[in-house]
Amino acid sequence: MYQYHDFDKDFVKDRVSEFRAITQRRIDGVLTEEEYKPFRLQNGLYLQLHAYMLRIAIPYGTLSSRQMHKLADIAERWDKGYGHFTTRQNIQFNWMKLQDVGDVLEALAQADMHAIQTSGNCIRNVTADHFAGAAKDEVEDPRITAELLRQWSTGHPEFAFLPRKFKIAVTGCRDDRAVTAFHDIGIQIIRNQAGEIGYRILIGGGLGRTPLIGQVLSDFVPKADLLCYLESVMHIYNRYGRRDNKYKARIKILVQENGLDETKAQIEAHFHAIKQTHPPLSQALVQKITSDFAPPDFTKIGAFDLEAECALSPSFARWVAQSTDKHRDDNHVILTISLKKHGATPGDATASQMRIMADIAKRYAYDELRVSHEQNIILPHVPKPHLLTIYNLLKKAELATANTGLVSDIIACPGLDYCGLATARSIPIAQQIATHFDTLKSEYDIGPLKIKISGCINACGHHHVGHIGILGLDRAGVENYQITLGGDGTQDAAIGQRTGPGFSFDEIVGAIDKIIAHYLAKRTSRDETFLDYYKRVGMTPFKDLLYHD
Amino acid sequence: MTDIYITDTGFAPYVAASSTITLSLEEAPESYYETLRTIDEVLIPFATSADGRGFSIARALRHLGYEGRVIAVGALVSDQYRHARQSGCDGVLITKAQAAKMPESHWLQQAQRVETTYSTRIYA
Amino acid sequence: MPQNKLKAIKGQKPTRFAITSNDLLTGDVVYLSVNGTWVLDIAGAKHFASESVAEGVTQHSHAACADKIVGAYVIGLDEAGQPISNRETLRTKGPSNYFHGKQQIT
Repeated sequence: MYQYHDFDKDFVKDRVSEFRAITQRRIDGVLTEEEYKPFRLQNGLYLQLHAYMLRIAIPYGTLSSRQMHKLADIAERWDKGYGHFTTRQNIQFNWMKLQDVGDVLEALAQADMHAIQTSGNCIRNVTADHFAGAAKDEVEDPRITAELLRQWSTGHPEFAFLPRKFKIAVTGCRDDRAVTAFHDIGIQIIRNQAGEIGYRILIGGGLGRTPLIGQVLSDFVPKADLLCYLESVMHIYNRYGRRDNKYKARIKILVQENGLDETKAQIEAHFHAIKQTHPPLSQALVQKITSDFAPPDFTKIGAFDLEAECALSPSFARWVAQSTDKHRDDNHVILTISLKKHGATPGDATASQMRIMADIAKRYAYDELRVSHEQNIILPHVPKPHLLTIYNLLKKAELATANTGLVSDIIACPGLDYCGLATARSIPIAQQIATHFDTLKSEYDIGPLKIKISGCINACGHHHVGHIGILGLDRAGVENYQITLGGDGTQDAAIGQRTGPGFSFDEIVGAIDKIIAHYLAKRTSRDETFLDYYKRVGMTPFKDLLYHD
Repeated sequence: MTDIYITDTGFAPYVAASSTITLSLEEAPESYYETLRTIDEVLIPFATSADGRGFSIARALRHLGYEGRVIAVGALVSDQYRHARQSGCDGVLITKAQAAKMPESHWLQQAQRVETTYSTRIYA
Repeated sequence: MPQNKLKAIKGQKPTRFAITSNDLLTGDVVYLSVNGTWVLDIAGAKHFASESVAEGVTQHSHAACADKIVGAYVIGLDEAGQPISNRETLRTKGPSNYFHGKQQIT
């Protein structure tokens, strides 16, 4: 993974002193809250319902064990002993105090981490496939591109005061685990006919109150042109994005209102205008980044009979079946550690759990961890012979729930329990659904099913792309939950369709149960997933069972 | 009551160039560049500190080849000094009232930071 | 786990008002008290009969207390002095999933 140069370290330290200075000016009353807020946000510090919340950047979701340990230390020393992993591969601490944040940022800087640009109207954390570098069919590790974009976008002077936030995601595989179709800019690494590596660029995807699937801005941007091309995108957005209405300020609205063709024409005109004088990238930097992401040496691990080991323990076997994915090397797997123990808060990990995961990564899995946008932790390179040891260690820490991808592997935003924007609670709904299906012991029978819950229309829980999405609203002061079906965040991008009127806090779990019971009764076989079933039969049977029975 | 012109060396009384124009963010400089380029000095207005369009306008001017003085004027805060400079502005113009709240030292601190960004490092 | 039951009643109207904010330094939920200080417990909040008077006082607080608080606003209360809205109920109690926030004080 990317190793900080002295420059990177100095940059982060400099931001810490900048933050301390400007915060002091706020505390001393030199700056009003209006003047301070953009800078507070650009350093990831929100004011939420109960306290300040700090969102720490985990670039493209990649962490070393040392960094995970640092997060554990921060959780313990300055928060309430836990952290929350988010749907953009970051971590949030919910209980920060303003006077501590300078110290927290300094501690983070010691581990080459920061909270820069995790909020505010700027380019946010560039996310990438959480299986990067490990998946079999990867064209190129997307984190090389993501790291380049991170450096390009960090502190970019022209784009620090955009109309609104800007989110970029990168995938290096055909199987899109990075949700590129729902980002302001989605980047897919591909090869053209000549075998050259370049990028297919999607523009104007997004969730929130106006979910839209990204459209193809360019079929192929050559590697060497990427930054210049994106400069042009940002330049046009910064100049012409709406600033009159916060809810119409994303680039997706600009594309919708001007049309893709006109937006593309403006971007490409600017691209051609600046291309000749645009400086070339430092080749030394590109080489350093590329070599930092060179895969570890997998050849040290020989063949191993994992099946035989699984045969000795059904619970281990089940955990392996549910939690592991194929690795580019036959003697390794990709392991997903579920942060969705039944009844727990989705995406939360205690300081102790963080340390255990860090130590496992360091000792058994090449010292690398990932955060997925589905709020789980990934160990991308796990030698098969180490799996049983890892399983036993995780079990002790309540981190071995074998539910990855199943109905209780729920994505939920913090919701009204924490968030100043929320209209309803999401965490208790997630907890109740997970507990319900655990009690029924029906998860494995139900099979792959992604439930995503958002506590308000801003959709931070990504409910639009849930196979079942739940949106918590406020109806005359009372919590009310709408259901959507058939969402898909992969390359088969689809926005979930609303079933109809919403359900109360007490009714929603029952409604979900009815939906799933119907699916179980009517599917052709276990091989027909919920999503397949919905695509086959459509909305009508679900409307009937929810509202007409 | 002269306004204050801020550069990397600090505060100075503002003296307008022999020809000067204040841009409107609605009027793309590209559309009348042939006229603009003959004017010695361009002022780019910032209505609020949150509206960063001026930084792109400054960059656009420099891409077009403008060689005159480019000044960011209006509701900027001192922490935006480096954004203005790095986007192609020569300096920032503020009122005495603004300077009372944001003294010279604040702006000079930012002047030090003009070199400390990735945008000067990732290119060859 | 607290599992707060939120007792919001559909369309309930407030009978009185209070002013809430967050402490600038700690981020704690606070309420404007009778003697102009900001207190942690809603039981100590000053009640206003008139929403417009409360709004006026809030505007004044923004400037006068800018070094103490962030973002003051008016909330509606019922007869018992408890908040009408779910959001404000959670701010008095803390979140549903952990015994964090106000439960740690009471």
